Amino acid sequence: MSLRALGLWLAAALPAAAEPTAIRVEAAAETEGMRGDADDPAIWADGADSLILGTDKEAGLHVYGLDGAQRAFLPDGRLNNVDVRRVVVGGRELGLAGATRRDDETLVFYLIEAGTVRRAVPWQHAAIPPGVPADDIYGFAMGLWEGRPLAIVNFKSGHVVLWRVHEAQGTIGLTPGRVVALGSQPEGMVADDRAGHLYVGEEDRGIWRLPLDPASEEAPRLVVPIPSPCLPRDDVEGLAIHDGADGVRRLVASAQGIHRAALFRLEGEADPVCEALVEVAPGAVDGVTETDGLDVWTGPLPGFPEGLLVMMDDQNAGFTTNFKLIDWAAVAAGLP
Amino acid sequence: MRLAALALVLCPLAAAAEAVTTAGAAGEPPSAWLGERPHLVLVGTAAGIPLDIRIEDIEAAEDVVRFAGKREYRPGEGGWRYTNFEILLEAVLDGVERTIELELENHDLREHAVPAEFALAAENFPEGERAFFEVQMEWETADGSVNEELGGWTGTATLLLETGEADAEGIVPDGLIGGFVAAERGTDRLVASFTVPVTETERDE
Repeated sequence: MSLRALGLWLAAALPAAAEPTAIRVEAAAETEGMRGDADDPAIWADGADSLILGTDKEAGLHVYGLDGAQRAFLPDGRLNNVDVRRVVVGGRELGLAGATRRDDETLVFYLIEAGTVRRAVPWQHAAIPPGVPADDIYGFAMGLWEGRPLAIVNFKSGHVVLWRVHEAQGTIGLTPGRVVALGSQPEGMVADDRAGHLYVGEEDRGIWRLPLDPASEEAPRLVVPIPSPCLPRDDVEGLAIHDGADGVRRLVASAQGIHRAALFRLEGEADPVCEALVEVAPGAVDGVTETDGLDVWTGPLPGFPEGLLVMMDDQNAGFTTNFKLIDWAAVAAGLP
Repeated sequence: MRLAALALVLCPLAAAAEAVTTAGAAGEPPSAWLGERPHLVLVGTAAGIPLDIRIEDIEAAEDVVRFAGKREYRPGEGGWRYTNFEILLEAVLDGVERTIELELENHDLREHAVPAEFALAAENFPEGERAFFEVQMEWETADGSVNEELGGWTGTATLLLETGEADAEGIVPDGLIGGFVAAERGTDRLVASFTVPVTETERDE
């Protein structure tokens, strides 16, 4: 059999890889444009006090309402990635947000209460454990392991460090946990608190999964390579988890090279299965291009009863960047 | 990659790949550098997109939002090496907000007194009288978006103007950069003449 005939036979005999469903939505709202460089959003869900935190990687942290209007700006330096978890600090349940600060290779923390964001005490923490040759702080995620918060940071050198976060009398402290080294630059990460997984995007290579347990020694595994149907080209950027009310769980990944949010179904310990690619097309609000960080909130929020997807947009009007707010109901309507 | 996926990847470009022109643009591309007055003339094609951008007096151009140069430096044995410069244009052309960047790289541009001619090469930061040239283009219309980073050009680049005051470390944060590029990349042909004021520097450690 010639090679050409073999190819034709294989094409006919083998099942085709499932193609992702193409979903086209429009943003419902957007945050104010910034002349700096928007990078990564985090959604803080708290009823009428819900907020979107968004980094300007040249200047600091923006705080927006769900209408996109800016509530506050903290000019705290070159904050790259941000994430948030609900925790108990000083006996009160509130939001603990962390961010990577590129000015001085540190982690900084904020407390969120009643719709306001303030610096935690102490605000700034060393991000590189002693003896670890990590360099150039970059991505960040928070997680909960056995009910206790984790601050997970990565570096352009490929290192990923899991820090345990502890609190005593209202002050924040960090204790180093596991350190992992990937082959090239990571950035986007998300902790799947329910499943006990950490997903790490290596920008040019794909998405890795490893145990969220900071004491684990299990090696990371590449579960979504580049190229593959939902990530046909680099970079993979922001990552988030969507816990559907129907029990379906999804990993949401920013596919920067094709300007899409990629959706993967999650089932137990199986590898994520490519399901759909979401395009945020121009409408009343302009579309999303060269998206970087993203975040998802699964439950109801004011104006978004089925949840919210927030994506960074690199080409906003007036030569600015910003974050687009997408009603998850519009995404869900396009799912198979 | 399957055809449908490939089409999905390519459709933003196809939807927005119409010619980019400035008012009154037409005729032959320049055959030489257009002088010290800040300007950008970019004529030819890049990623198959026809470009005929002729902003010969930046200060008088109402549609130019930003036109700025940045010098970048990397550590070397004898101090900072001047490894590349970027030219950024943000302008409303044909009613669309467009960002176009040109970049030229060499192992150390300080080693080449102007006028200096470089053969364009595919490698980053090449040594000797060779340079890496890249064109970046970004814009968005109702039909789609263009996001291109195009390196690997062949041809020549000639630096004809480098001014500014160096600080104690040899970093030059101001002045002008001027030059002329005639480049090819596959079926693309591009001619650029520029003089750009430097407003920014970066130390890449």
